[in-house]
Amino acid sequence: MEHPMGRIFRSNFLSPRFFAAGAWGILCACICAPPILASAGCPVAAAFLTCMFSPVCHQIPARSFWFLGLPLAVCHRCFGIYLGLFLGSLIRNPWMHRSNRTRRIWVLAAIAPLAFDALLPCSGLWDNTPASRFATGLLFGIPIASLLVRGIEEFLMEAPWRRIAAGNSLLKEASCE
Amino acid sequence: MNENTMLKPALIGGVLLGILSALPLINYFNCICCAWVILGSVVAARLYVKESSTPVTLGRGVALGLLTGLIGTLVFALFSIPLFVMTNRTGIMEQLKQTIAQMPNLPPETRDAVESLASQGNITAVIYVIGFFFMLVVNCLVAMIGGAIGVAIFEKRKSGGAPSEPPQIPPPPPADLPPPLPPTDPAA
Repeated sequence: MEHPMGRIFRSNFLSPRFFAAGAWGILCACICAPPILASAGCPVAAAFLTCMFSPVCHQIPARSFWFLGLPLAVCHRCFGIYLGLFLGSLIRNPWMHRSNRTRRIWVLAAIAPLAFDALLPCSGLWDNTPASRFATGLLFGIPIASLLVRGIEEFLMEAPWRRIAAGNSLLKEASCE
Repeated sequence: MNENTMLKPALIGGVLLGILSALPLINYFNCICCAWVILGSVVAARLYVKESSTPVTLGRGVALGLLTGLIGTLVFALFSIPLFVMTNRTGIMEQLKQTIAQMPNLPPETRDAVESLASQGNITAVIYVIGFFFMLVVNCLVAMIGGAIGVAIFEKRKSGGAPSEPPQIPPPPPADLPPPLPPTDPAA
């Protein structure tokens, strides 16, 4: 059964979907910004943004997309994941949340190609390419974003402050009576 | 389910995340899709699902991930400060200089400006603080994903959909009320 608040969150512009899409969109913009900033005459800002992503990505230039003569701030796979998370936040996936089992299958199906593409080159059976790294990152990000949006919706529905607010309104009603 | 039970798994996952992300060499595993951040929050979700008597919702998983990310980033910062002092506060500036050196067609005055900037200790501290907040945001977002993944994988019980409100039971009548009237016959 759908919670009535779910409909409100979906219809509201400031819904969890737009919050998630905004957050991942800003990160995608930060990833693409360094080459643009460098070509616009702001190399320090470009280098600073690149350094910000260094704890979360290896940033090997040979494994990164190049734009305006410079690599992006993260590698092919990470860019695919961030872009997938951004695009997945905008897409509604009703099939994923039918039951716990379908949700688990979707999550494992999202992780499997990424894991195979990352681990199989170690065994020598498969040599990944920029396209495979980007595609598997994208395939991971899109369903996981749906999971995150649903999680944020549920979190906001069952948040303690909502119960406190409901309690206060009930108290006010009681005092008016 | 109360919020207190969430703190223990979040602390365990957060400390794991923070320490593994701060240790030299081991922290390079974070370059594989934020492996330690995801692992820390998945571990927290696993512990929470195991301890919970009721089915855990995705919302709880996201909240747990958020808490794990916050704790983990704070632990990471606490562990990084000694490393920051030990490396003579040059780590991030060296990285910044290397990144700028890789940029083609850069005028020499820009390189000189960066060199002079790097020599100022205060600027380095400011960059570290900004970097900390950037990492806090990224870690919290990724840990939220980890928490949701953990709940999606480990929670196998059927959830009851939306959180249920407490049942609204009418209060019992006071004891001094007269007994209810017997039902009247409408035909009479």
